[in-house]
Amino acid sequence: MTIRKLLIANRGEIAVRVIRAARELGIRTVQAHSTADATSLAVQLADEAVAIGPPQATKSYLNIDAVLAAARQTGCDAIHPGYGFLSENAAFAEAVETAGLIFVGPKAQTIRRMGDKVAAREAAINAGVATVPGSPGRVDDPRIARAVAEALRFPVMIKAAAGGGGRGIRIAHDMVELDRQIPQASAEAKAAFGDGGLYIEKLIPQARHIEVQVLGDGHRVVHCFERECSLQRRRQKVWEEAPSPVLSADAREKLCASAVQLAQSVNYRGAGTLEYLHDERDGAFYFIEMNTRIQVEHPVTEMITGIDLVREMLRIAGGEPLRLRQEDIVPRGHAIEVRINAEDPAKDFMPFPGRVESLRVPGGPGTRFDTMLYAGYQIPPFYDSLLGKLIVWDETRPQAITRMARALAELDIVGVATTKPLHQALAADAEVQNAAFHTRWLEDWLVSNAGKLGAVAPPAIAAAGLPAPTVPPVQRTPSPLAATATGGDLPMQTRYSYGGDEHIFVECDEEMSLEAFFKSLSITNAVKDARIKGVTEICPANASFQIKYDPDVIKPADMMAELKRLEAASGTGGSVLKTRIIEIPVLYNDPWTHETLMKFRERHQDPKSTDIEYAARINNLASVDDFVTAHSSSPWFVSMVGFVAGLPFLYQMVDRKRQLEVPKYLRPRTDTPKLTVGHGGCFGCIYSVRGAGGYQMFGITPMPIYDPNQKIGYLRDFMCLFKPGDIVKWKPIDRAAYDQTVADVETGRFVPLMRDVTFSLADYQANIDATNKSLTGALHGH
Amino acid sequence: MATKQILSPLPGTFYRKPAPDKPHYKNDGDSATVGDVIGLIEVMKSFHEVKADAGGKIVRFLVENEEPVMAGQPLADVEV
Repeated sequence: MTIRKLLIANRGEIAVRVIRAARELGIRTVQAHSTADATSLAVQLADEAVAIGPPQATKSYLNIDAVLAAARQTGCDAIHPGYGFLSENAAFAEAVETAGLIFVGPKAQTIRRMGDKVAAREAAINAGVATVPGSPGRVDDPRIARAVAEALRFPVMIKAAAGGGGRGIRIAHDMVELDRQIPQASAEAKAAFGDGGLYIEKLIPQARHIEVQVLGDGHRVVHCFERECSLQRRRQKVWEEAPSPVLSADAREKLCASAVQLAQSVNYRGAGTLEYLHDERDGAFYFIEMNTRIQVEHPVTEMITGIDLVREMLRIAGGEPLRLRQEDIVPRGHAIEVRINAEDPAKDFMPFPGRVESLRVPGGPGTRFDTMLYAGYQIPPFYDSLLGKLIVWDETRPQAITRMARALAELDIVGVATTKPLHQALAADAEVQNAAFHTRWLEDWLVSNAGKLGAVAPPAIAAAGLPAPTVPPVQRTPSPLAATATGGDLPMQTRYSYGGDEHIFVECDEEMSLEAFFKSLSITNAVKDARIKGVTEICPANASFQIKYDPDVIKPADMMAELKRLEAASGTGGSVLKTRIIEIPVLYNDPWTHETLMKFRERHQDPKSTDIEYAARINNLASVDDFVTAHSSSPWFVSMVGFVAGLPFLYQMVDRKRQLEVPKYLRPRTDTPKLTVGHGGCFGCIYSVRGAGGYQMFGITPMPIYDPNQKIGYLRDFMCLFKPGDIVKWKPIDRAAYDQTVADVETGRFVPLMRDVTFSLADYQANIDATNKSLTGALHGH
Repeated sequence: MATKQILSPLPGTFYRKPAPDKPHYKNDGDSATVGDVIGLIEVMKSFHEVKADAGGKIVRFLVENEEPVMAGQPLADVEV
């Protein structure tokens, strides 16, 4: 009963992978696809394609009846489920067999048994395989849960019996947390998986994730050695390797033997993976779960063993006995796989379903790129973000890492933000090179290494619930050299770049300066005045600006030409600005930022002093009072608003050499009080909302600058106070004045002090002090 | 009385309720203030709230629950 015609009930790169294996075996392929995938690479490569429903997975790739109907309609005799979707759905496997077709995978009863975490644990215990110490089975009685947790010692994990993929896991550090979380966890599990059953496991801190690949034919099982997948983000694997860099030959042999024993005990058929946690401190291995399907990271095993796992799956499903004897399987060298996802690592891994403008695929020795991409492909937003997997092999692990860095540099996906920069930074990291990591390592690393991911790390605020910032993520901190650069340098030619087909990004200079800012402001004002049809957003930011437009109304090339025309027309003029000056009261050295900065002292350059003391010292000021005077005596320009809603970036209006400069924290904080007056590089800011941040904290203002409810009088028309071009003047106040202002804001009596002023760049350049004096004088009616 | 439209900020699948067993965030005829959540967009398995950017009476939703949407597609008419 060899397979003649195979339906692929999956999509993306794994569908392409299955088609390749099938074709090499002479099996005809039919690609089942949703309407959103009609142009996919898998559809192009398969012998036939059949639509199974609309874009939503529940109505297509998860619709058992539609998949079976497609198989019947196209005369297939087998179905490959890939990974995800229906691959571990026992009811589906059963329905396929009932329909008289071959399910490429294990028997339905095996899926049922190994797919239920509690049943799989019991199977492991029966086979003599160690599991993470925990409850013997489901825990339905909270009193038993308490007793189990007591015996295991905290911290413990509360897991959903029907969970998977890292979902439905909670951690309790003590009895109080346990009591609180049990009912929540049960309700959540019921909602997410339709089954409120829970079990409890001991939490192994700093564990490594190591898994064993097995192949079975229902009678005999062999292993293909292990993979290590400890680099994870939100429990999703990011970087995988084979073999594990930390196992001794002896440990490897024992681990693989235990996996074979367990798979053998359920008479496993097909390709499967047994996942373990490895506690490096005592060398222990604990079985956690079995995946009864092909896995995303299977290629690293293929690279070190030379076995085509998908081909073997198809042969076994076609009824052939396992061809491989254990002694035939010999690993050689080292392989690494990285997942290239359509996510922007500089923006907290925001999904990025764009169009692939062009594609350059890496090649050369030991390099493999399994992907669904082609140039011109529009990535649909309805499925997961995996675009492809870059896999390398070399003789040793250090050489494999070098080869990975080389291959990543060759990979170029234009038009889509991907996780490539993350992998480049990881390949260059000393701890990754030393394999000194565990399953929680990457999340900590991401907090301290945001800057390596192309992220601007100004106040790194997690935009909780806010729409993506509309400001391009460009913020230039002038190099220290800029302070001494002479005015005789030739200005940079304005740099224009396309951002997809809806944005044009224009950089007016290499360095931030008032001149560059004015150039950006005058061009954006000209764009506004020209009322170009199709322009939907105009956003000046420091020394650059971005224009968003509708490409169906104005073509990208026409938009570009229009901008260049306006730049030429605006010349260097337009440097007289009608704007306003706003007084911002500040309680310097306030108790709230002080409490926060003490909490994050270990992330600071100078753990023994406060932020403002440090800032005073490195700016050669004798005291904190002198610093407050230097900070508050000159006005500041709002050169950009954004990052999070309403947050102004401020550029100090003094001679470039006298500007206060303070580096950001070594590692960002996870908290910053709302309305903190901050500083990083040469930029000041006011944190419009509470959140993470990396700027130094000098004080706090009682005056709201952002009100999404638009209840506060002066924020009623628009929820953000600031716009680029506004001028700010700080006013140092004491605690009593602070409290009074807070009370006045509360009762609606507070009226901010702001005045319309005219600012001339030429006058400012001619005499800074006189210009500033006249600006601040306007605040008080002069 | 002017009519404004709430546009989808992202491409993906539009959900009118926070969970399958929960009621709709808003129904036709409900009033909405700026910042009220009117639905979710699922894009590549991550969920993003859609908030009203204009206050007023929601005249009607233009997209059904669980329907695919494009970025910029109108989701609801609002009488402001």
